[in-house]
Amino acid sequence: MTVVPTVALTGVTKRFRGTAALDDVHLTLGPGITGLLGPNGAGKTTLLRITATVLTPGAGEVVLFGTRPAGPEQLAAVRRRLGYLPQEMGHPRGFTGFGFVDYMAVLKEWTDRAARHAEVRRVLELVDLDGVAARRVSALSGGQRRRLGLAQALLGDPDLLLLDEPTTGVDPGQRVTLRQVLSRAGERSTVLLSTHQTEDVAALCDRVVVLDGGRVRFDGAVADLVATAAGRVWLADAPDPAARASWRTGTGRHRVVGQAAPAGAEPAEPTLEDAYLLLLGERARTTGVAA
Amino acid sequence: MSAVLARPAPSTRGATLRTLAAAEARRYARSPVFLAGVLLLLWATATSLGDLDDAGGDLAVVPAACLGLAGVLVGHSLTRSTSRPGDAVRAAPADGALRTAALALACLVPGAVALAWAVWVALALAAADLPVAIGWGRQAGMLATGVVAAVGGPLVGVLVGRWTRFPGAGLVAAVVLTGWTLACTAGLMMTATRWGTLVHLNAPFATWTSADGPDAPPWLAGGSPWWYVAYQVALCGLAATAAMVHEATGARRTRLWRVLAVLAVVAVGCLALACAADPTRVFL
Amino acid sequence: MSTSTGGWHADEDLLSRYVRGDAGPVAAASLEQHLLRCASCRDRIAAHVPVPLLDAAWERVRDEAVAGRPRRLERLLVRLGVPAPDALLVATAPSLRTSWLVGLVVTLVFVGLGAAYGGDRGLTFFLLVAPLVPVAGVAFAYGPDADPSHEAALATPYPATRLLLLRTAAVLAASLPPVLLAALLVPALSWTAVAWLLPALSLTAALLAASTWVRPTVTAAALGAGWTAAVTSASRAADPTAVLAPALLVAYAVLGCLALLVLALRSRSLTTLGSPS
Repeated sequence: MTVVPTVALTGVTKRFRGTAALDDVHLTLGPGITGLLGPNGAGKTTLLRITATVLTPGAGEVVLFGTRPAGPEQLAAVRRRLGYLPQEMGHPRGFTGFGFVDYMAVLKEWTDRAARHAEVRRVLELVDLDGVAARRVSALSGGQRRRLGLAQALLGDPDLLLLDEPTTGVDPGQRVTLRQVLSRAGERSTVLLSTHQTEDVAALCDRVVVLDGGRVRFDGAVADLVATAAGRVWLADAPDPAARASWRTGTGRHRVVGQAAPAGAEPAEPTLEDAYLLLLGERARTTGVAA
Repeated sequence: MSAVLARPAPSTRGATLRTLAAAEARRYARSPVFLAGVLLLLWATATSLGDLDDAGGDLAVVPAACLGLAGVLVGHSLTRSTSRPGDAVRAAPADGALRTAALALACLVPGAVALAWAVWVALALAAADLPVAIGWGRQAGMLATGVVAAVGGPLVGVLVGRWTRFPGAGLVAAVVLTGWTLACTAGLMMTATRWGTLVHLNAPFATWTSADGPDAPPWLAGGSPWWYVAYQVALCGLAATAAMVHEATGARRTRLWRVLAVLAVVAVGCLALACAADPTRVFL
Repeated sequence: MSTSTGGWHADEDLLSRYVRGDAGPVAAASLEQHLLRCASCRDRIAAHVPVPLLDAAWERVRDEAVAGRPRRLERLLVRLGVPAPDALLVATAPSLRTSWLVGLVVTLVFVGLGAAYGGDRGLTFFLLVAPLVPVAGVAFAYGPDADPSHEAALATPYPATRLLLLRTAAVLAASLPPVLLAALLVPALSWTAVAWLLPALSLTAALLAASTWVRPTVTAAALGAGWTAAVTSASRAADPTAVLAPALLVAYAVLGCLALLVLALRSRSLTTLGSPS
């Protein structure tokens, strides 16, 4: 390959008090949107933190934009080109929405006031917050705060965008807006998107990485992951306790995801969620009622 | 689950308060600052029991500092940590005033430890068969001031945690209480009048013994220890009620303001009665 | 009210000269009077105003409305010569906010009262609190407890050490002079009113050095507990001012220098999350 990948992780391992949060992870990312799926505690946040250079790996190598960020100069050079939305994103007290993004812009070396304010307004418009920018952050809703966090990650149109659950608490209408923003960003930048929402991944990503127990369980095209569930999803009249998962859908029938067809069932079109449940196997063995 | 509590009937409210108070009490008992305070209390008492004969009464300063003053920090941090998750806690069935009441009840944990301590010291005094020059009534009153201070400190912490939002507020409150207490010892340097007693006793905690010089005989300050304890209890009530006012709404808030006014009058009355007693010093 | 102006209207040349600012004071003043009453001339003058200029003015108005005025502290820092972006970053520290400074004043009033009237215990109290004031301030100036957006801020190119030192300097500048002033106002303190500065600076340096391992609030709590133990045990033994003995003052200075050295050597670890939450 002649193009230098934006992110190249080789054998990255990170342990916290003996438990491996990441265990020998190899990952190469180039332009486009990659979805990162996995249950809680799978290591998604650790992977994003390490890629965002805010956490050093215990072992393995992290290469970003073709350089290993070892010295302060290289670290700053890498950080100039990345935007990061952490999972836990608080806001210092007393800021307005505009003031907070402005503060982050100063940290991102936008020293000229006029240019910085123009950029802050641009990203606030992108996430559809320009109308409430003069309000205090404490007066904003959870979804608005999440979008504010996304706005600061978008400052300066970064080449690498790392987003840890950007759509938490965001209503469906806003989620569509965010998808538009992200898909536009994915045209030229490398976007790594950690989420619990398989619909987001299905709607946005060309590639999906599934983490479980600190290891990469799947890395490939979204369509390929969905294809693994072909012939293993059915609609039945009764729940199937032997299946990986089965739940009552809004139509009154039961969606069954498993290895064997229950009696009287008809095959159904698999979704990314079905494939994800099958991949995680026994972890997802649940029988419940879904709305 | 919580759906049962959706319609708060009076009995449900009491049950919720009991559950919440028990949970807060457990959190209090597990707080590292509280546990360190208890260890310090044991150590300080063990090292001071030796000089019981001359300044036995002022042992109360030990629980006041180890449990009361440290409790300001504990009460503050417990209050802040329940209000931090914001939306999630606000949506819970128990309302704010109830949660504050539960926190206030949890402040009885250090009080219970201080009470056990006071009983232990009283038994040690009795077992040592020391001449209790000041009489058992006064001695018990002076020990009680330490017990009330051990409850009052945490209550001030809860109060400050409810009404302020900046992180160092607990420390500032602890400094304010200490400064106030120390400044009031000026009353011991004044001549033994009722005004001197007022300067001495308006503090949230007071020591009772002093001496006119390093080699002079120690004496016991004038004023009534038991009325002073009543004043302290009224201050505790003020702190707890004022903390609950912050989250209360509607008629309950109005009622709490009235309680606050009554308690303020009671506090002033108790202080006046404590100072009205004979101001003469008793040489030990 | 009539808009009639007796049939006279400004010609295009006058309007364009007025917009350029070349009309001369008398003509400009009378044209302004006229424009107030004549709608048709107001319409025509609009064509002479360059659009970019209008846009720029509108931009500035909108910017002022949304961005608001910089905070008081930020303006003060800029007036003192701090570059505007740095001033914005420094002013964000919780321990430089008004509520914290009010807390400091309240603290000083009560420490002063205690020290003035509390005899030996008052002196102990002063020695206990004064050196810990800057430590508490620095602890709440940097790190995940002071700045809820700390993790996002770490991923930016702004040097973390620079931010830490800027905020430390601001906290010291804001907290040491008031404590010193309050101490000098209490005659009972005599020379201890100044001598506490050395342990204060040494403890602050230790806090900075330790913050390369653990979060500053945790270190501050440990330093506070240690200092409290030292002062109270000195006070119980005989004399609280034993913590300011000449030999110890030298030790504080040495420890402070060592701590700064450690900070310089380990500043790299400030650029990452020390202990993951």
